[in-house]
Amino acid sequence: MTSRTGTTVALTLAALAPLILGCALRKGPPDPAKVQQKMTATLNGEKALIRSTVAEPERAERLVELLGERDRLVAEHSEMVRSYRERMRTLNADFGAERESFEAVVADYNEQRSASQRQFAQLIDSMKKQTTAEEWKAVAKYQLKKLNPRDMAYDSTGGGS
Amino acid sequence: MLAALLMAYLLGGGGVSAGILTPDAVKQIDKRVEASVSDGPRAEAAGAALVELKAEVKAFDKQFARSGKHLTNLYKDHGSDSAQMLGVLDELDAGWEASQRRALDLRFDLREAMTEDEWAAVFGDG
Repeated sequence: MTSRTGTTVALTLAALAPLILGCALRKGPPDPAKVQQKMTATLNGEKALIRSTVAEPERAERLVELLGERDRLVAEHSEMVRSYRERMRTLNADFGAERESFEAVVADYNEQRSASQRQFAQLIDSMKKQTTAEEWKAVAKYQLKKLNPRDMAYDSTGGGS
Repeated sequence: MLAALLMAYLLGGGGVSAGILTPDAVKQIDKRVEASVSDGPRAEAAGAALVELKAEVKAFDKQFARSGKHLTNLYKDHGSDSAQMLGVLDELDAGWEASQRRALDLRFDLREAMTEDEWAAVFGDG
């Protein structure tokens, strides 16, 4: 993963975190620079963990490449969700909006989400295939603990709108 | 990655203009409706729609939590595969779609109980 990609992912997670939380974790203005620094360190830590955990360098590098694919999917997913949210917000504010308009937006979103889920699930398969059970245990533990946007959130006092 | 799979269901934020509902968002809508709709019968009808909406959103929240735990376990399990994950997600999607349909019904019930100005006061600048 390049540092540029790392930054993209960090920013994506920073943007998503307040959306996910829904309620404030703490008051006060966020410090985006600190958040980004933490996220970049976390993503770099993930790569370092893979390189030190996966026994064969070729498998380790393949897995690191798959992280790049993951980051691309996360960015796409983020945009999909943001767009859906904005479309629904606009429709809901319109007192005269027809039900069919909502249904069309929901159907479109459902289709996109389903495709995204399948891509993610297949990518997870590919990542597991590059590891042994023991290696995956260490990698997954780190990912679940450190790459959860809930833990990387900095603020959501405004409800993410 | 797992969080990304699930985040689509949790995007309500707290704002009343949020595109996707969460219990927190419904609470805020409820407060704003209470402040904006003063006419007795209409206020009662709006309140009834919001009570149902709260229940609907809470029910989906529970399903989401169950699915999240299941998906986390599958993610950790090196021996599990995408078909198993997609099975859980398909079930969650079905619940989500049913919940969205019901939420839409209730959105229109709520609208029936409000004037256009009241609606703008509640949802216009969220």
